[in-house]
Amino acid sequence: MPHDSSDGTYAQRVQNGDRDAFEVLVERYEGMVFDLTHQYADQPEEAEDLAQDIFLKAYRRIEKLRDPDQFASWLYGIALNQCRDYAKNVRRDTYPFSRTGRDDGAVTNNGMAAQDDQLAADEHGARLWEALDELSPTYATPFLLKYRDGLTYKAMSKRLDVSVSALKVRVHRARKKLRTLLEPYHEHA
Amino acid sequence: MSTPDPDTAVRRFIDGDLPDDEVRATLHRIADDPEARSLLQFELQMTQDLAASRSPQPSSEFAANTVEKLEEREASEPSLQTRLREWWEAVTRPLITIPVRPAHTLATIALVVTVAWFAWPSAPLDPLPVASSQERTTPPVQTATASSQQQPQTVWTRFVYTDADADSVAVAGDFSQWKPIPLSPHTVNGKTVWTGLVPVSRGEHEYQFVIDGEKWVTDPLAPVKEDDGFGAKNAVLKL
Repeated sequence: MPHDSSDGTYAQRVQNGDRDAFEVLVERYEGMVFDLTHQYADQPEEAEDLAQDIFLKAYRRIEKLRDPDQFASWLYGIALNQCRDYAKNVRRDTYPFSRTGRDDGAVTNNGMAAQDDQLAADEHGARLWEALDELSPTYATPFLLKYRDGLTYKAMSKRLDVSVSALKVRVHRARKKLRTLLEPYHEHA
Repeated sequence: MSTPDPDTAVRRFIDGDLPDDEVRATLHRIADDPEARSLLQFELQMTQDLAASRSPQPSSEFAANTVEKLEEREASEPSLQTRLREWWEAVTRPLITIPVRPAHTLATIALVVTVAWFAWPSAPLDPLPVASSQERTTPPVQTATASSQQQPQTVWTRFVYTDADADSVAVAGDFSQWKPIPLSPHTVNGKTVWTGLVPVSRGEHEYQFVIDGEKWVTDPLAPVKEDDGFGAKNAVLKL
């Protein structure tokens, strides 16, 4: 089966009972979903289980997806909700802190951690993902496809069935919104 | 040559939509505009941040395994009767379970009967059947249950501290009478993360991490910190 059709084509096939078509959609978005679940789950195994739960939930609900071309942002919305539920439950049971222990953008007291480039990079990445949570899936999805998956606007357009110019506008709006959300943090970093 | 507004200029520059002969002029335009300059700087920072936050990628079998799981789930799809029973068990399941020994049950019944005796002096004279007496004894039992829910509850709290160089990390707080409770090391994304689950009663608590059994440090991720009276700060945990 050639794998270059739009998401909508595959989503429609899944709605018609073609389970193999769902595998293509999982392959397309597993990386994005993994990146998201890793922001919420501490252990890689938990992140993988969470990712799998997200896809299983999407499969169960795909009949309710009215516009199959919206699959990517619809899936992202499911992933975000599932991750938030997971964080809520984990936090209620065992983890009283916020996902990254937000400290109002202040530099941390731990000098050792501040010197650790990897930790700082992780912290920056976590802030970025937190800010991405604030965006609607319509904007977050093309943004991630461009920056995370490195897709060209043309490839994105084919996959999402949205015009290149509309995608450029969405990505730019996402960029500006993220800049606004992260500005206080970057001023302190 | 058209001169787009700074916002459009940034977008076209980032998207590579500018003809070669317009790039230099556009960059000047961006440099002259604080808003556009800031957006371009953000673009550079954000690209680095996103690249640095890439998580381990799924195995090549992840998609196939997920679809396989779908088949398993569908095959083991519970019947309507099972689902109804599960639903009923879910809605009737008690929110908390209090372990009670038989001796405690007898003591509680004796207490309830005594309370009922004194609360309703006419009870011994009342010729009501046993079923009614049982109705009367019901409220004190419910009150006892309600008051037990108001007891301080213990919350298993995970403490996390990242330190690759430490030989040991512990957490100490008022919930442990400041006695250090050791945390276990784990490697997460190449980092050494010390973590442990500690039972903490509901309320506000203060704590610090103890590195190598001697160095006390404040939790860098704690949103609230208080002076500890010795020149350092305790992290504040609210449950």
